[in-house]
Amino acid sequence: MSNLRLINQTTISSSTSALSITDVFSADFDIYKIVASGILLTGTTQTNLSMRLINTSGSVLSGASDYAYATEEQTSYQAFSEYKDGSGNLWQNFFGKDDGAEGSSAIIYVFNPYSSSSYTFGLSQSVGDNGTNFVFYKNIGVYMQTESISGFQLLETATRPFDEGLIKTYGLRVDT
Amino acid sequence: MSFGYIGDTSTSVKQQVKNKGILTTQESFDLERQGFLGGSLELINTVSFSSVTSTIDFTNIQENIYDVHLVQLTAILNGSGGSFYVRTSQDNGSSFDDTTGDYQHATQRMWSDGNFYESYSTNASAMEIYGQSGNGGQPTNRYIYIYNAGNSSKYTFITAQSSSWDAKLKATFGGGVRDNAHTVNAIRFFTNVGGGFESCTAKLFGVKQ
Repeated sequence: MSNLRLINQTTISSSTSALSITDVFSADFDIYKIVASGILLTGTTQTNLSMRLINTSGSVLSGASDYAYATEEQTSYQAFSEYKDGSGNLWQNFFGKDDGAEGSSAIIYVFNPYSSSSYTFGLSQSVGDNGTNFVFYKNIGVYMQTESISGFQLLETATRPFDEGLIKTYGLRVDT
Repeated sequence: MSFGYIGDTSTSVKQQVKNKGILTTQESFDLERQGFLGGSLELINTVSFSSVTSTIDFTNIQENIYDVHLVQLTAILNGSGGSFYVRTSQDNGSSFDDTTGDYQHATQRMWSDGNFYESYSTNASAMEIYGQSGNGGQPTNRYIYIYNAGNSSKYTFITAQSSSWDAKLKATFGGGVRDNAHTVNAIRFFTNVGGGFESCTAKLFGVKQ
């Protein structure tokens, strides 16, 4: 048996700016692994592909100061950059970046999402393209509310939707 | 089925029951047939050698089945101070793309003596993922994810992390891209040390769908 248990697989097959995947986090696991591949924009302008969390009532959580993240952006054409936001409303670039031709991809870990007594933490490494050049992101994030989380959302906030991609969610086995 | 690992197989493929059960042969067969039993990392191929070899190649990577691959690799260089590179193939390993401009890459390098380096290129003939090793006979240890290899309309990306010994600890994280949309059906790892590798164990997995 594997330590990774496939919980959900979602294929993006129509244009959208926000894809919600609900009812994947539960009391069964403490740590989850999200594997995303080939997220493709409909347009041709580089666009950040970010992440929000969804609570057990199905509401997408977008509180103005509830998210914090820090990112190292490594590109193939210039010195690397650091981005951070201690009071944001999403985890930026957790799913990478795309401009409609290459297909952004990511590995994301989510810690303690279902717990109602601890913050939810995230780790991500993602790859994509800014139009002409390769870009890699190493991300950390925290959702600073003790709220039970059961799902997540892939989104972009620039009205430049995406229409392809595959997202798989795994639980890391817990033996009791 | 009296008990098992999968509680709800109807719509959401979600584990509902804690891992306490023992599966009968028939239950295992039923679950495997439905795709719920067995690893989510499925071993495709292992490359292992203990005599000097110049490259580590994976062919028949089953890119038509898996959209994401994982390579776990430990190797000892036959020389010292060697960097590490990745190339892709469109003809199942008969040749590997090696023209300048075929690849882009970007890697953060971290050394235990306090030196950090940013290394990148938009115009490379291979994806250099760095992490020198060999000086002291200790291995380079890596895992590499490969995305979109089987998709002829998307670029093939990699992300990579490594921890190596070259008279000091040298670690890396970063990635690269084959800068063109086509199907990739073989992967090559190599070093710029003339002697190649003296030993290696590398495993290629498909991330199950």
